Amino acid sequence: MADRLLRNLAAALRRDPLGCVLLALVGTLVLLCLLAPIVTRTDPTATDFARMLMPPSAENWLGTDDFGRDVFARLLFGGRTSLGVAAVAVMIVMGIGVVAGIVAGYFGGAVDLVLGKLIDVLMAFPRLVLAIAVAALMGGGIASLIVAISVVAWPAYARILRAFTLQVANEGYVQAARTLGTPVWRILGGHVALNLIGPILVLAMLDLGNLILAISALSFLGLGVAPPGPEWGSMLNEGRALIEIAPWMVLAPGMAIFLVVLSANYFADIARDSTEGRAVHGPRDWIAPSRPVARPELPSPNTKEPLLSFEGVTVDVVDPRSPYCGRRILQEVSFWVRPRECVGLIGESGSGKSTLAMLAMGLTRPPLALTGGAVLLSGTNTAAWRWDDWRGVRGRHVGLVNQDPLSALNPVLTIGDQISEVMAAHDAVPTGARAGRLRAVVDDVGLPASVVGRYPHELSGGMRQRVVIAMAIVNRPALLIADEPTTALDVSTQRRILDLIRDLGQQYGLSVLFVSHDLRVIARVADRVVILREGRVVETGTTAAVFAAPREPYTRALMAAIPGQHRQPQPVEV
Amino acid sequence: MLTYAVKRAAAALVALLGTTVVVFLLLRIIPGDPATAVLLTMLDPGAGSVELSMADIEALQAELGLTGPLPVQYLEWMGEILRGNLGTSLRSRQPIMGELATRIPGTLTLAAASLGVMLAIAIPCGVLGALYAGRPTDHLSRAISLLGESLPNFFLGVLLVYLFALWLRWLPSMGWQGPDSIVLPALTLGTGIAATTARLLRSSLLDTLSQPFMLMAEAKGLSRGRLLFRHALRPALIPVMTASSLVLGGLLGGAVVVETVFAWPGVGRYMIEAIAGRDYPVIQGFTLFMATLFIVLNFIVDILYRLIDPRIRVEVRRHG
Amino acid sequence: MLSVESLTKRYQGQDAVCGVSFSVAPGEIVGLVGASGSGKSTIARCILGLERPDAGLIRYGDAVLTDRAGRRAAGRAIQAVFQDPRSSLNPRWTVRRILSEPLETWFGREPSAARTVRLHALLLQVTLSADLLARYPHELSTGQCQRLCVARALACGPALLVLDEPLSALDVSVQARMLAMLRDLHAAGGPSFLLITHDFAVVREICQRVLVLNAGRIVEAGPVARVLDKPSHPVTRSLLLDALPLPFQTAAALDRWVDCTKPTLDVAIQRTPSS
Repeated sequence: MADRLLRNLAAALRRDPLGCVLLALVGTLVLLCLLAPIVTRTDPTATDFARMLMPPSAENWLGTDDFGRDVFARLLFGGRTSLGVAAVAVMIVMGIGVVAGIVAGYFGGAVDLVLGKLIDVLMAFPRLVLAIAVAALMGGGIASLIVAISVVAWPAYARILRAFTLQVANEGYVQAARTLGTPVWRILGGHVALNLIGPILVLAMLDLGNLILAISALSFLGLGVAPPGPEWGSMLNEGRALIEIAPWMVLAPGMAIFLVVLSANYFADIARDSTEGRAVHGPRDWIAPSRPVARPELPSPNTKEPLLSFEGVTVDVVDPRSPYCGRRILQEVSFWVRPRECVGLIGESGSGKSTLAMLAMGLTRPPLALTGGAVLLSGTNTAAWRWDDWRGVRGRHVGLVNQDPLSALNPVLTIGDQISEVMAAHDAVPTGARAGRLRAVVDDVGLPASVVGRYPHELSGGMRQRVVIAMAIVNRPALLIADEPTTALDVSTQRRILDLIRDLGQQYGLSVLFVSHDLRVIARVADRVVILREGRVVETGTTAAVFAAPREPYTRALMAAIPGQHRQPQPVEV
Repeated sequence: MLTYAVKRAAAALVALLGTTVVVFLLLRIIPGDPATAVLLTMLDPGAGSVELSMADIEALQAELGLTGPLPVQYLEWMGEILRGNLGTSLRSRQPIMGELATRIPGTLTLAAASLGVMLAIAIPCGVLGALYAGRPTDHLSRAISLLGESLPNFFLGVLLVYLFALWLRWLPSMGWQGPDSIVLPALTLGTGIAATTARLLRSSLLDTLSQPFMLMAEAKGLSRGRLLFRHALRPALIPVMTASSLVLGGLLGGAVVVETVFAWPGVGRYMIEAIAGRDYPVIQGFTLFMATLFIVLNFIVDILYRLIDPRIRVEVRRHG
Repeated sequence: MLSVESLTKRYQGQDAVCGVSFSVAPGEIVGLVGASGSGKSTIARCILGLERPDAGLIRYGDAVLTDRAGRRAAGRAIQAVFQDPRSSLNPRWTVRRILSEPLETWFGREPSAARTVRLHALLLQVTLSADLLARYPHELSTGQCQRLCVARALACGPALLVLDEPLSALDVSVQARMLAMLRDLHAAGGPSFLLITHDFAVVREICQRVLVLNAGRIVEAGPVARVLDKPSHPVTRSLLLDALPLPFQTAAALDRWVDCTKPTLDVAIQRTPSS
């Protein structure tokens, strides 16, 4: 883990000239501080009243202060103190925080309770205020500085690490290890600690900058090193009254602190980004304003024309930053959905079936792009459509129901709001009729009228999927895209939702593109099926024909894989 | 809602009680005898070694309430505090409560103005950063955050004074000389905490934007404004508010530093003046006041939090 | 072999499992079926000692698993495979280290060559290739991960394997292969299985006896053929009715009872809404 972190850092640096400059600067500074007695022979505390407040020169690289002391020497020797205190404080804080956090998190019980109370109380103070109070009561000096910083900084670590530990302890592999009878010390060492090193290192880096800031703030306030000895924060304090005459006295220590803190924060950012692994899918690009090309009106579903057709659709990963760049997701896929028809799209994971569903809504995400063929809605090629064109179609003519009802609804808005806003966005229902339409659609999907004022977390999974269906059909669209709508539900709910979609399809005259990996589900709802494998259409036909006599070996293999066809030999009942 | 508020208020009271115990114990667990330390500081440093009389030390110990068994000391001390008596300053010989009271408005004004500055910077920065993630606007806003987070506020304050007060002479540099005096201190304090908030808001908004419910909202054909302000921003504020005690802590801690830089008439500077004289009762009184303010602010945030997030139960926020 | 006697477990005052009793005999494959939230996984966690029951006894032979000493005495005899194979494997360990963990715990250290031979045999048992040993879990497919979990559980030489929804994270064709592997394992004299699932089709495929769970209680138990073809409890009937039929051959047995069990099925399964 630690070596992976270093590797990631190194890789990030190679692409990042600014980071290299920063690293070089701060590296030089730290090295100079460490080697201060060799680099400069000047005593940082030697006063020379003949050379007071001299500007930077060949002799005094950073000028002199109001006692005639060399600012460069003071900067280097001061850095030893500032950075040394920070290093010691980080180690103390991490030590206490890590042990307390892991012990409280893994063992729980009384230890957790006591530590928790202590942490709660210490965190009821603003950090810096408590540090100032502790340092002030102890009377200043380096030791009290370190104690003050450590006392206020460890609780935050302990609390975060406790949460991390709890999370890791609930991971499947720790549960498995407990079942396997692995001794506790080996679970803690091999599983918990090993998986915590990354977060711990990132945390340490993230807070290093804050600790240095807090330390220099305390010595700026006069709570650090005793006067003649140099320290960055106190140097700045000494210089600020003279800033008009001798700005170097403020700039030198100020820039030094700034540089060190900046690099700590900068590299912590990189480290965090590399370990957290930001979602590959960024948010979709809907913010950039686009002028509608042709606001499409889809005809009412009476014609025999296909409502949705895919013609030789090819989709690739095109973003060069994606590790899968160049991978083909869909290869010349062609099929169509006619009015009032339900087409079942079958495929295993990785077959590209969800990509097809997203294409039909114009919701393909950035690393993916249509590189060949066309998606037609009511015979109109959608290739030139911009976000605003699609916006007029989505929710109005095409509705979407997707896999996970638990995450498909906004947690902070009421059900009624979330259904009504679809009507408000499209003006398909006159303002006066909206309340009535809301009641009707809630009833159509089999929900009690009282759900309108509820929040999503108050409903079960099956009820939430009904809400999603209501949102999709409230404007009476012509086409419904159902992407694995029942996968996250248990058998009984699944069957009711399937029957609901089938019945609503008839009641509303909907065309449905129904995506699923489960052949039993497709067989129940679809008129025609399309079987997809690794981005290609393997077989199509009416449901009855394909299931009665599958032509392709892959289709046959899929069917043979449906459980329930073999029987375990039964022992004789006694 | 009412039960929630009552429960949070009870939790805040418990925290407050805890802070009094900590403040009480701090003075008693530091190495050495506080009374001796105070007397040594009060003596003229140039006078050389002077014998402290035992009688003086014992008199001061009695005044500081350091005699008798610990629980009794605590109860007596708490009794005085509940009666509104924080003790007497060792230097000015005035009641601390009165001295604090005259300085509290200064600190509150600074804190409020800085919060305003913070929101005015953090919200646009965070929102634009997330919406234009990976593009120049985002890089710019991240760079601003990084700079704001890394510049020590005492350094920034000194620089701002130099630039706007001494060089350009646009604004007053020190103390309270009219309403425009607040500008520089509030800018100094506000920018530092704005960086943290902007960063939090950016990452939580990015998370929210890639949630499945945002895809669903887009699939409903909603307008940009509705997607951003109604669907994305509100859930994105929840983690920001959860982390608000970090920001509030930075605000109150930073206030002490900024008040020192700008000679601002607030409780922070009062405290720093007291440190030099080892005025222990003042240090205790100040710490208690700041902790109380912090707890009250956190309580207010808790209530706002509940208004934003309908899911919150009282148990959920225990231990992060 | 394993016997569970009036097991009860409460979460926040609500009964998740209420007075459940059953037993598993050596060499038997028992299915535990129920809708989500019916308490299936809680029973498994209690048997595995990951959860402490509020009342009742779990015995394995002479050992009482509900106390800590008893769990230790039963030791390696009861092992488990969980629903999500990815999270069940430490992402920072190689396959070799993952499989060695139980061997080291129970059989101590041994020379590297002997260990390798043993690991190869384990991998072979779950039809995985021997050259996976140096890989990390993220380099394996989900199906391979799940087999690895089975191999890790088998490494201890258990007498009972608790399989908690081992198929639901897998693709259909991978499910079929996994089922075939489990069947072969059992035929070759493997351990008893307690298979937890929501899918009657899987039960029909592999189990000999089935227990149907509803709201924390066992409502019906018996041989698979009897329970699935002639269910006596309305909950079993409605669960069976809700399970989607095979698309191409209607099971004759189902047809026979569908007609007589129409009314009030919806009321039969009252689950607590998930909060």
